[in-house]
This record gives sequence, C-alpha cells and structure tokens, in this order.
Amino acid sequence: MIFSYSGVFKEQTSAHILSWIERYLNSNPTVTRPESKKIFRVAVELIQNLIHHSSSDSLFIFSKSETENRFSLCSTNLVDTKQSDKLVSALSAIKTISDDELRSLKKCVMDSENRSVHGGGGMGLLELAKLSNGNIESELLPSHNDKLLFCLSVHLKPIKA
Amino acid sequence: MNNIFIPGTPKTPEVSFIVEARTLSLSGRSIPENSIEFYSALIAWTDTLCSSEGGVEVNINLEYFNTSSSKCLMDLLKRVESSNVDAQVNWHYEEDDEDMLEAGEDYDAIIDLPFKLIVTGV
Repeated sequence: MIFSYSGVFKEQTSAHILSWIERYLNSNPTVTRPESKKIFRVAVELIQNLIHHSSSDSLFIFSKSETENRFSLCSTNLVDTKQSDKLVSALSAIKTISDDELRSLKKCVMDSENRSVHGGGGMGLLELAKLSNGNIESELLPSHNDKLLFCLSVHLKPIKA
Repeated sequence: MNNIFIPGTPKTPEVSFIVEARTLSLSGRSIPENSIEFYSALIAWTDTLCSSEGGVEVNINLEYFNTSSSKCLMDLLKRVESSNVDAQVNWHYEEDDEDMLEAGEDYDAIIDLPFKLIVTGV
C-alpha cells in the first residue's frame, strides 16, 4: 500500500490526509489500536512540520511494506543550507542517544520556555524518534537555488504483545 | 467569569472549564496547527480561576496531542502550579497506550502537583 501527496501543505490538506490515514488504519484489522495511534501521531508531526516549515511544494508518503511488515512515513521538503546544518546536527545527536536519554531530553525541552510561533519548541524530531524507537532516517539531496531536499523517513514495526 | 464549553473537533479537544466546580477538563484530540491560538484563552481563564479562592481539578483525557499542544498543556499546568492553589491533576490514558502513559509520567515528573494516572478502557 502506498499513499502519497505532493503539493503545498495547508491546514485543509492536513485534515484530508489525516482523515484518510485514520480511515485506512481503522479498516485494517491487522493493525492494533496502539499501533494505529502511534502511526497517526507520526503522521501528525510530519505533516504539521511541512505546514510550518515549507512554503513550496512538498511530498508526504505513507506506505506499508508487506515483506518487512512495517509502516513507513516520509516527508520531503526544500530547506536552505542554514536549516539543513541544524537538522543534520539535531538528527545526528538524536541517533546517538539511548531511549532513556531521548525521554530525558524530551522532558527538558517540554520544560523549557522556548516556543516557536506556532507553539512548538523543537520537539517534533524528538517525538518522531521516540515514537519509532529511533527508526528515523534522513537524507539531504542537492536541489536548485542553494536549496537542499530534506527527506525524513520514520519506520514503525508492529508492537509486540 | 464565565464557564467555557467548546465542542470537540477532529483537531481540537472538547473543553469544559466550569467555574462553580472549579474543574478544567480537556478530552478528545488536540492536534491543531496553531496550538497557541487555541490555548491562550484557556490559559488566561486558568490564571483568573487560580487567583480566586478554592481548589482546582484538572482532567486531561486526550486520545492524541501534538508536540505544540504538549507545550501548551505544560504552560497551563505550570500556571496552576505557580498559583499555589490546592490542585489535583487527573491524567487519563487508554489501556495499552504506552505513549500516553509515558507522557503523563513525564508531566508528573516536571510539574509539582498531585498527579493521578488513570487507565481507561478503549
């Protein structure tokens, strides 16, 4: 199964995509409710990142690999070099720490006074890493006009009982 | 000071803030794109309630919340905490929802208020 949307992300776009994902998950008897909630949470963070941080066309892909038995959610958007340096360093830091350290870091960010204009505070990547147990990958690809294409993938395996 | 009742939507929680009962209840889902816009009036209301005499009960029963809402919830709880009123926070989470349980534990670790983690059925 592959669902993809390419274009400008706005509130209404987000509502349609999330509603589709929720309907798909609810109608799939092999997906448990905890799994479904985790997948939905990842979708919310990725899509809202695109709304807040991308002004041009972006891409969101939601897929299920039957062979690897996992869901993958990917977002792709253009970033400038300055943004890309920050993203690479944040993601590198997240990938090197344990689950407990990740949770502690998230608590520190929650407790801090820093806020973005939309109310977030740099917690999106931490939340994605936590929800996926660190199964998060990123890639920066050359694009045009000093921009880079930032591809972020989050993989979710079934939750073991 | 008036009660606040806002019906839930696919992106915003049902809000029931009752002056007489001194209860602040949020339920459903909180995933608005702009959480500050949604929560600022609720935080102002909380400040006013907490400046008057009496205890406060906060009931949070959310199915989903995004990271920007988590910051706003933190702001709301910190306002209650800093007001020094007698307060109780009831954090509801669905059985098997470890993410929501962990989130409740994290708020409990940060906020110095009596915190009850309450498991609910699906």
